[in-house]
Amino acid sequence: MKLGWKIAKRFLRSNIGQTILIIVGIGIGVSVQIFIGILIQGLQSSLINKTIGNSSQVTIQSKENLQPIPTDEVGDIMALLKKDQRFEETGTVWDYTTIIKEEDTSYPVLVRSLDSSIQNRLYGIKDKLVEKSQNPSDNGILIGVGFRDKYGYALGEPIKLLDQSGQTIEFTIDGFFDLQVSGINESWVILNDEQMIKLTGNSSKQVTSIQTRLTEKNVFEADIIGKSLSGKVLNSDLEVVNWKEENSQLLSGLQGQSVSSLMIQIFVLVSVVLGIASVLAISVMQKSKQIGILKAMGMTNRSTSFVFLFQGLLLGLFGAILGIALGVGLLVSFTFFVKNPDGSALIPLQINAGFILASGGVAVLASLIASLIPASKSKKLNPIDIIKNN
Amino acid sequence: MHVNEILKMEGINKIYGEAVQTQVLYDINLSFQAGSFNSIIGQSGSGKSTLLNIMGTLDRPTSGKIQIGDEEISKLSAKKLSLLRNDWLGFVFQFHYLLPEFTALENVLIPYEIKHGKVDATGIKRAKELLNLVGLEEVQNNLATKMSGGQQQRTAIARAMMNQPKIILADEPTGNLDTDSTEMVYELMRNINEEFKTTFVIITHDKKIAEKADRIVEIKDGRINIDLSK
Repeated sequence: MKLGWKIAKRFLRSNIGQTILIIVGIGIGVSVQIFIGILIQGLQSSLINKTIGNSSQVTIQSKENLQPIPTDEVGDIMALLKKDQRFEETGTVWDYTTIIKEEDTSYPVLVRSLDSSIQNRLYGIKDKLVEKSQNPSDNGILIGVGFRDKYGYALGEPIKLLDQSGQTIEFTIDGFFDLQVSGINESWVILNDEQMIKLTGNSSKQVTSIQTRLTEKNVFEADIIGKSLSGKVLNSDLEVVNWKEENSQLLSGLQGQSVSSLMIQIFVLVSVVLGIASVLAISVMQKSKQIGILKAMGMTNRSTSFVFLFQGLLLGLFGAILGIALGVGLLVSFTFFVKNPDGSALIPLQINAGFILASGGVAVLASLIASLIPASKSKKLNPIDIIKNN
Repeated sequence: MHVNEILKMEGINKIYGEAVQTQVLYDINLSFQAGSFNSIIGQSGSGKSTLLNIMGTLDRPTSGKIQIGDEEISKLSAKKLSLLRNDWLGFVFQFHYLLPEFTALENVLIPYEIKHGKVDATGIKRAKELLNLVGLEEVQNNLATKMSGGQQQRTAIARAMMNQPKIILADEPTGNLDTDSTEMVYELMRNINEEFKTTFVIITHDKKIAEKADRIVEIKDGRINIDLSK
């Protein structure tokens, strides 16, 4: 073993130009893999963040539109969800549909009362207020920027909503939010529970849906998690919906991206393996004289095959180290030089150490597998053929 | 086997090819005494190199038995044959077959390293003594490629001696050397034979060298033609 290691090192060193070329070849393969892999991971996570990060990913609601969930069940479900580590945020929502009634016109709106976890952390309304009143009033509400742009509302102005009995109740506009979706910006009105009670004529707070956000690693498990929930707690009047059902096009886009990234990585890997295997196979030819004489001197078939396995291991290790350095360098320069007009990185850099190490590990493994071919070839080499043919 | 016989061949036949068969050796019976200095002569294609390779366990006969020491080698596995070669046999070929990536000293140490799995002080001491014996102490750290033909062949002899083998098989060891180097290499082998009682079987074209051996065996058309002992 020790001699095999020594000979492997010497073979690589004696042909340093060829060795460097192979290491660079493996390094470039690994760097492309890391660069593309991490870029696509960053792209996906930023896409997920932008598209479904600010909406409920698993929602429990009544099968009948906007029917309240019985209070005792809300307590049970919330207790269950709070214990479940897969959920990052959970909270209750009370929705009610009504009409904004002005003198000459009226339009339908979705009035929502969100608990603080949902309002501030899931939807991030606080950060998305583009205008807000310095002196909020008692009957202040928040509306989307769509109302401002389309109907000319301004801060502090009154706005009239129709209550359940058909009477109008006046509220004051305390702020405009921009959730970057025009449908929402033109239809959501956010108020608090007291205002909601007044508007709906209920005697206490109601819950029409329970909304959640999953932790990042569980985002794509939304359907499975949803299914497990429906088996556990729900009575027949409730249903669980998840973002994957509701955004099938986005999901297929993301999956397409994942698959294409995987395909690129597989092809890079295959070319790295083939490259190493062919160079090491040539090396067996080049070194067949040495292998033959070593065998004549009593080196066993097993030991000579180790010479090539060790060469594969060394090439893979150095190639992986070079590839990791190159890949991370490429990523850092990409995030530094390729930017959005506002100066932020086009694709945010998310260094995933696990993925980088795995890419390096795969390269080492691939090099070892590639060296199996020359190793078995050297095993079959008969010293007499070398000596006879000189 | 006779007490003093170190290598014995009985009924050795060697046939090459399957569709078109060529017989190279015919029913060879030959044995060598321990500590003897033997030469094998014969024309090109007579089968002498094939015979040496079979003796050296590098090639297998089509039929017949070979005994090295007490071991009947036709029954041995590839691994055991490797161990036997490493321990019992030393080879010197017409082409030195040194590893060009290693220095003279490292080349000499390789059989020792194959045997012991490592290089230790004892091994280095012995390798240096052998290089001294073959007159190469000054170039011991030269790469094999940075030595003359004679030096390379002397290194190959030192390497063959490293594990103190009982038998050294040499195939035209001076075939590529000039007259002075030839004389030097021959003297070296003879001294080793006398000092260490190592058995030598040398294939040679050189009549002068053959005549200096204790025994001359001539192979002709795959058969023993002459077997002369002094």
